[in-house]
Amino acid sequence: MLIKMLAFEWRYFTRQPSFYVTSLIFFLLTFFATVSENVQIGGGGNVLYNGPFSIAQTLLIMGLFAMFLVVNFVASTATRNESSKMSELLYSKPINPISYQLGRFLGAFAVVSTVFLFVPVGIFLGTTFGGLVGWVDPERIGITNFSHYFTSYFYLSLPTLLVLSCFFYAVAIKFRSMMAVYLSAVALFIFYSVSGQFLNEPEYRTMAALLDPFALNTFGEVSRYWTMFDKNNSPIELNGILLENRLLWLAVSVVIMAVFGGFRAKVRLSSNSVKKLSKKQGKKAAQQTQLQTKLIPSLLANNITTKSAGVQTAAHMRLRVLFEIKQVIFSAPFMVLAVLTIFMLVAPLIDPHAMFGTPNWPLTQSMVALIGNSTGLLMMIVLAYYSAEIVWRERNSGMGDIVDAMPVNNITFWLSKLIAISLVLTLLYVFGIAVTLVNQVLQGYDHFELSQYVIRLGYVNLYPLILTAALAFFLQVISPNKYIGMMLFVLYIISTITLSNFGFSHNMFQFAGAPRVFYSDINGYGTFLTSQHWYMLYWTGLTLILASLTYALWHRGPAQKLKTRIAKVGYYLSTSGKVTVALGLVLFIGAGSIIHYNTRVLNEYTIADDLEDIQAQYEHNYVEYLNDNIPSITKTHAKVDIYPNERRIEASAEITLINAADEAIERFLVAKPRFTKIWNVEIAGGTLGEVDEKFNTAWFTFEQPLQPGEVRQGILTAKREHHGFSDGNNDFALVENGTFIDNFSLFPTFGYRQDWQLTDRHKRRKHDLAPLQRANKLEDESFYNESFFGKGVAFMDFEATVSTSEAQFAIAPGYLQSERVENGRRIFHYKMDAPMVNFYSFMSAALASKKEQYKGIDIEVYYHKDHGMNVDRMIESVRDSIDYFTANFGPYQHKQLRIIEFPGYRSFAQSFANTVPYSEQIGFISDLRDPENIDPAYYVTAHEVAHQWWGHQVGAANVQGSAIISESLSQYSALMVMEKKYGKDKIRKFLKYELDRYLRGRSVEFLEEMPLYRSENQQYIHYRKGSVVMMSLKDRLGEQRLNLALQKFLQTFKYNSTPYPTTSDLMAYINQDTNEQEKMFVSNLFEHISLYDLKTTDVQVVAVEGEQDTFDVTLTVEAALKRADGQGKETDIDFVDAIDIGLFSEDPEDLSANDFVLYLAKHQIKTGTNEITVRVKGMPKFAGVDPYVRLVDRDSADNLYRL
Amino acid sequence: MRDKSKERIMLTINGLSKTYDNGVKALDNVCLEIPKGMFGLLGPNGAGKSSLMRTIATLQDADSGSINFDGIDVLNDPQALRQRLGYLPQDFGVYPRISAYELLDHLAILKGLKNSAERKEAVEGLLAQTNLYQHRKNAVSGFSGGMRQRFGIAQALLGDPDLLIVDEPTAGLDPEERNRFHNLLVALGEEKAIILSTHIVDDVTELCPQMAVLASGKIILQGNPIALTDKLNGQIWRKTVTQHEVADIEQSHNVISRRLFAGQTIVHVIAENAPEGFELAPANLEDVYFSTLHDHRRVA
Repeated sequence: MLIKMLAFEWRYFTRQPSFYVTSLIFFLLTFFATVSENVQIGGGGNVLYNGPFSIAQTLLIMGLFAMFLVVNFVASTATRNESSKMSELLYSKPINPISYQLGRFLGAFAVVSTVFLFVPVGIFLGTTFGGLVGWVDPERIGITNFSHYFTSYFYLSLPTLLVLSCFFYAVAIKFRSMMAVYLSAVALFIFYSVSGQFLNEPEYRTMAALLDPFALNTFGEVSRYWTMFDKNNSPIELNGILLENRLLWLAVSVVIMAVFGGFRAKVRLSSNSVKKLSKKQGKKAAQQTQLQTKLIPSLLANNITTKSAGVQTAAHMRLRVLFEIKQVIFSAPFMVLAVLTIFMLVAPLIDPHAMFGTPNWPLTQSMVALIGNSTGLLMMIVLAYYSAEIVWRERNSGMGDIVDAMPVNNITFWLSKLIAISLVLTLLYVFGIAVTLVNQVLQGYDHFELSQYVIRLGYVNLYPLILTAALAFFLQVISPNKYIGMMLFVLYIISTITLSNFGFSHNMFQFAGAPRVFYSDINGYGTFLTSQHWYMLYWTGLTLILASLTYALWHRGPAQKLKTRIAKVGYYLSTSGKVTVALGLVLFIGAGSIIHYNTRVLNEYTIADDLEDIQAQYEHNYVEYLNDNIPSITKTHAKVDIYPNERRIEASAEITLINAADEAIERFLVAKPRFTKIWNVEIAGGTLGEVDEKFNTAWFTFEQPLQPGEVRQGILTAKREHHGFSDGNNDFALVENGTFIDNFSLFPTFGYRQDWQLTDRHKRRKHDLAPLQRANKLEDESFYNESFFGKGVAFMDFEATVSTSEAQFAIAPGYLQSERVENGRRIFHYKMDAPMVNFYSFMSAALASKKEQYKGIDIEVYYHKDHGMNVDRMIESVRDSIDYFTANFGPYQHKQLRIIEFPGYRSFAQSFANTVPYSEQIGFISDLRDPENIDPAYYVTAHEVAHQWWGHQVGAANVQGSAIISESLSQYSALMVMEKKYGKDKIRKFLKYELDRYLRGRSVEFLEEMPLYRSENQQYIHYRKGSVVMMSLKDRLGEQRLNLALQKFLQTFKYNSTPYPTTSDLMAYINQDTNEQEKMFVSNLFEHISLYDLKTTDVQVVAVEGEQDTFDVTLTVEAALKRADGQGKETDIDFVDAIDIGLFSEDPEDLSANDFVLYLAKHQIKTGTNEITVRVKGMPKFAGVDPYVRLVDRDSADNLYRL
Repeated sequence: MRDKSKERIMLTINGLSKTYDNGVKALDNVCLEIPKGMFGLLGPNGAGKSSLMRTIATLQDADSGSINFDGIDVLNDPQALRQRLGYLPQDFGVYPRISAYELLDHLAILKGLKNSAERKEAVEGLLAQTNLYQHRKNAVSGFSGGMRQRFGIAQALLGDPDLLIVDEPTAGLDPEERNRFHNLLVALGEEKAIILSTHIVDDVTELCPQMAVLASGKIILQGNPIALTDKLNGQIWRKTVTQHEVADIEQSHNVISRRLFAGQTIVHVIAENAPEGFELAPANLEDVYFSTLHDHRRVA
């Protein structure tokens, strides 16, 4: 019986088209994810597509989709007898429930497992075929090892499929309804994603890993810090947390099936298929019937021959709109969607993933962005689902023939349905807005800006969605049934993703598309709404045409072929329809022409592929001049006129140049700035040649070569301006309020532009370019006189005259010499008193400001009026920083420090001489009310102030490790200021973040991880690892010793550009007074990729007799030191070193605790097992090794042992 | 007399043909003239009755031919006909979770009954006529087959249509309801054209002064039932036989029908002269119908 039932299910499904369709879908999804660069499931970096990590990741993610596979097959098996009305026939047969249910279940499960088998097959064929044809970078395909496929499928996928199958089978058996199963699938999905949000914090990771039925978090935990080498070589092993997880869920599956699988119950009809009226109900009904029957004779005489008054468009419309709305709103799917929307928003609001875990204030602009982003996919699903449901409602309910024969205009049907679906979309946004408003109120934020919700969500997001709904309707109407209509719509969605691959990335080719509308509190909507208006007009035109065609082609009657309906288009359109089509055409062509003129004639538009070609050609043509000498600028007097409202800058700079090289310069490359038509480079004794427009490049040729050491004068000019609007080719540097532009963007630049090169390895190979060299070798002395800002960027004197509109102020580095207003222009004259790096910016904005003087230094913060929350904290940070840095490294070179907020189109802070532009997206809007959180405003400010020393006083040679000098030392300096203010414990939390980000960063490295001192502009090294390493060093050498070394280093290289320092110099200063063991330690940190693996495996506490409250604590510590190569392959290194041992009375994670350190001292720890006994007063609750995360430890969580 | 009969023609169907994608010829050069009053359209299952009904009811286009109702070119101006049309499809469903009253009111608005008092009167009257009044607050989707059919009849009568097309209206009705419905039709039928499509001969016998037989998409017979029956009088012979004898008789005679009566088979044959052992039977419409089909099948 069991085998027969199993075989029956198998045969049943393998004859269904759905079996082949879903198999094909699962195959194609993985196949294309493997071969296409646009779609990527898992992988990333330089991971092999057929390596164990990629395979496992792909299978796990597809496992989420498998939920719907299981619902489709397993649950339909469970409910099929009801839905196919077979139950009465079937349940009258003698059936043994266990073998019957189990057989059917296993049959359906076998089908599910088989369909899912197409995922590994898809990867295998994708890598094999894609590699052969050249779709996939052959370097990212390893030797096929089938065991990786098998382990992933059997360890990761099959158990997941089993759990899901059991769960949905049980739900289906219990409720005997597919709808219930779908709802439970959605509920499970919501629950899963919401709990995933909460369990993402490090302390819950183990729990999440254990409880995840999909094993996504489990594998994430197992492979968290896998390096490239691990990802491509480590087999998936069924042990540890993965084994526990799989066993747990296997047990859960068995229990679910045993209890709810329907084995014990007799196979029978569901009770609700046999309805019975209760006695009371029956009596009531009978009474009513009697009462009503009395009325009937009189009603029979009613006049039923009132004539139809013909087509009543207004009344029909009112009726149908209300009807459609009722049908849509009071339906289970809508409730589910509403709940889903709310949950999708609640989760990120409760646990926002902001900087270092510190939340931001719930600004309306962030709330709007949150709603838009988290509902994006949902809205597409709503459109696909509802357009099918709504358009085909008459047909599906069986009312079609009756309603279609009614004297109702087609447009009534169309419009009422469009209004209904628009209402669904609107309501989902309204629910989203309600959630975020409540959140704002709860967070105590009262600047609601309802207009922003309306304009950004209603106009920018919702309106295009409504137009898309009209498109979806059109696709439904030209389809013979709703499934084909849905498929067409899905094809449309896919086409929006793939069209851009074929050069159709312009928004004029993307239905309802428009250039993204950016919003900034400082700059408002900027000019973005203008382009939005034109694009919306353009798409409204097309939509009018589509809409008219849609209602003219409306299905009246069953199975009317498109051809026959097309014959009636003219009839159903009638005059008003034809006028609408004509109007639509006029709008479409008219607005289209204006868009074309603006985006392609007035402004530049380049297709991504073309840009790639240009980049490659540029490199081919010019790379030989990469190391050509160029003049350095030693003096600049800039005259910059900013016209914010017209978005125009007219700039010129009188410059003094020197040939700092030791051979004459005959010519050098000049690159044209963007958005600039009129520009020039004039230097005495030379001329600017013809501009190669394709590469925006020209040669500047000296008739009299510039001799070594020779100084000449010159003028740079540039007029940056904007006309009309572009298709997303935005200039965020020059805006109406909040202009922030640096000299490299504003003026023509000298020399080959390395930043124009392609960086992606695959693309470089495709264009036949040599592998990119990220940095010059540390040992290459020829670059020692070159700053890390690039060739020709040296220290110089600076002066600037900047004018802007009267309402704004303008800032350039230097001290304000004068400010005056002339002819409605506000003119500022700045002059710098100390040498500064040839890297400066101009800003112009209308902002609030706060100023104070501190020890002769003017501290100024310019900020948007609503972003004043953390201004005082920033000023405090500047004060503390200046104090600490002055005391430890040397004096501040300027008499002023200004922080200027700029629009959040770009989110970073950057340090220029005495000027720190600071994005509105970071720091300013951090909510610092919870003292437990890390303070990003204070930290970022301190980091940027530190750059005035590291970067602006001391430069770095343009070789490997340059960013260590500017960034790692700034990180260290900022952390020291932080430590003084917030204490060691908060630094511990910060360092844990930094360590985690370093370890994760190295796991997605795509070339090679370098040791710290050779970092090649790798952010996870110079920021993240830099913090950990420098704090580790401080702990080891002591603050004073390290700071003294840094001070000497700084004094030696201050303003020195011949040569600039390198990391070798830095290490020499650090090692100036170190002993052998310390030298070893420094070497491990700087010259090697060293990873400690410290673990407290056991702690014994024995009370000391005779002494009250005194204990002997014995810790067992496992220690290992590994050295990794650039690909992450590790080798063990023996070590002996002094490492912290700590005992605590409270959890050191808990930042509110005070005075909880019972013991903290260094002990000798060596490779292998160590036993350390410590006598303390007070009972410890936590004990461990390196509790303050001072070492790079692959798993810092197991350092501490909870007693 | 001739002029008068021409005046009474409401619906003219001319050369109507329709072939489906799968090659089935649903309508084959159908020509019909339908006067005011009840018109019965008989035909076996699959004869094309519903295709014809749907085409007249503006829900399906024809490949060729024309339909004219009282001056309206139906195929080219369907909206004009819809205002004067009542249509009961062969089978239909309803929107879920909507009560009979609400749904009928909804359809009444769609039908163009704009005055709410008049609409209320009509809706309640129709619910009473179709014996649904006491169920008016229940969802139609929960109705039994017969009740749903009655609801269909009620909605078809909304707006006092000039052309009423009812496709197999009495399927699923019990005899009492069927009678009630027939009476209703007859009462309404004088001033409008009513096309009643059915495969039950008795319905036509009882109701229709005019009828046509449709088979394989063709009109194979058209006329007044009484006149048609009269033509066959004297040619129908019957015999009561056992099951075993049927096969022999079918080989030797033109058997047009056989039916069971009290466990025995009564065979009707058509012949000029009395076959041996047969007795003369009075011709009825069923004999007309079966003999027509019989001939048609023999030709085809």
